[in-house]
Amino acid sequence: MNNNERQFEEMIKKMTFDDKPDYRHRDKLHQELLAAYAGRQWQQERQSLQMGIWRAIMQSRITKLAAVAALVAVVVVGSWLFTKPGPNRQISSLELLAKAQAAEKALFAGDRIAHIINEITIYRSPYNPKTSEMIKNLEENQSRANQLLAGKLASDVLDAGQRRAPDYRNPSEQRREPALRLRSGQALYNLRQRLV
Amino acid sequence: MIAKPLQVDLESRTMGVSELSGFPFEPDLTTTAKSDPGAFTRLYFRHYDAIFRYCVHRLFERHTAEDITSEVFLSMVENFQTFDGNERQFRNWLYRIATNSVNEHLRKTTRRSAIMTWVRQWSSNDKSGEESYPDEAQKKEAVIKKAMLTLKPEHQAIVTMRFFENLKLEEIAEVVGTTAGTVRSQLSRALVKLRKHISSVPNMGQEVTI
Repeated sequence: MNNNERQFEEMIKKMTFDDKPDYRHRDKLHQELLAAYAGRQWQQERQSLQMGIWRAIMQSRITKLAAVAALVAVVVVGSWLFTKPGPNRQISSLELLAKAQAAEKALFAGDRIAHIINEITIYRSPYNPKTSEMIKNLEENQSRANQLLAGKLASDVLDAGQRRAPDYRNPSEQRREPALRLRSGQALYNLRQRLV
Repeated sequence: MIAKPLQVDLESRTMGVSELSGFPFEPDLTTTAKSDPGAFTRLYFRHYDAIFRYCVHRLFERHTAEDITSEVFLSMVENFQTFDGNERQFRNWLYRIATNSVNEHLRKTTRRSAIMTWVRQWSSNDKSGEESYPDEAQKKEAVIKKAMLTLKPEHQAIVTMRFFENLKLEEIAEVVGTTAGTVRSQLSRALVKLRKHISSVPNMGQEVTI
């Protein structure tokens, strides 16, 4: 230590500083550090687990092939699920009926013929594997279906008056084999009661 | 408002890792602390005071020093798993993080100029004979602090570690990532600058001769 340094050190010794640590800050920081420490440890464990899996896969040719096969299977199944046409979600029997009504209404809306729907034809959907089950459900609950149909017809007639009515001409649909016909004799009866 | 200054005995600022902060020395503490929160806590308590004091001596402002200390230890936790070394190396690593944080802080903020303005006002108040800082010793301290803050952050770090924290030149070299010879030459250059600044203050040139 040279003379300059010694003199400076002497000068520093005489100085006073407010450098006493505040133990409240130390303890608060300690809590924060423990939380951060736990977070880092968890991350570390997760990383080591991932690395363990990766190492296990890479250990032999068989595991590598198995991993690749699994990956390919996941990709194929995933792409099939996401790219298949039609709705993926399951719909209820009553939703199916409502959809059929809406479709029929839309098909015949262009004709200026007054017509009351008294029959709804439901076709098996190739996209919905549960169609058969839903049709069976509708068949078993014919009265409920009729009620719905009657309510729908009544509201159509009462609200719309002489609105454009549907027709049954739809060659593309007629080519298909109908799965269920809901004959709404009861529905018409109900409608008549309401109108009278 | 100035916090009540505390007289700190320089010898108490000892930097031997075996006697830090009243916590007994444990071999392999840095290794066990990686997986044991209890060991980590002991390691933290052993080094908190030193790092806090270093930050105070660099910034002369305890609240900012507390913020920087928090930053240092949080940064340490983030990278602790990658640290590989004994406790002395750990301490030097902490000093390196603290040095970088303080230097960055000094560059980024206007704190430095604010402190200098404050010191200037303080000196002028004292000269005008007002009673705000009647103590001659405090005036000298203000001048030294001001002179310290005029140094380049890297030089300031070396002077602080050498004279306030009592680190050896080799240890400072390890912290700043250079050789002991370079530290020595930088230190002597910094002291020349300090002498120039202190001598330029009226009534200080004769009293403070370094």
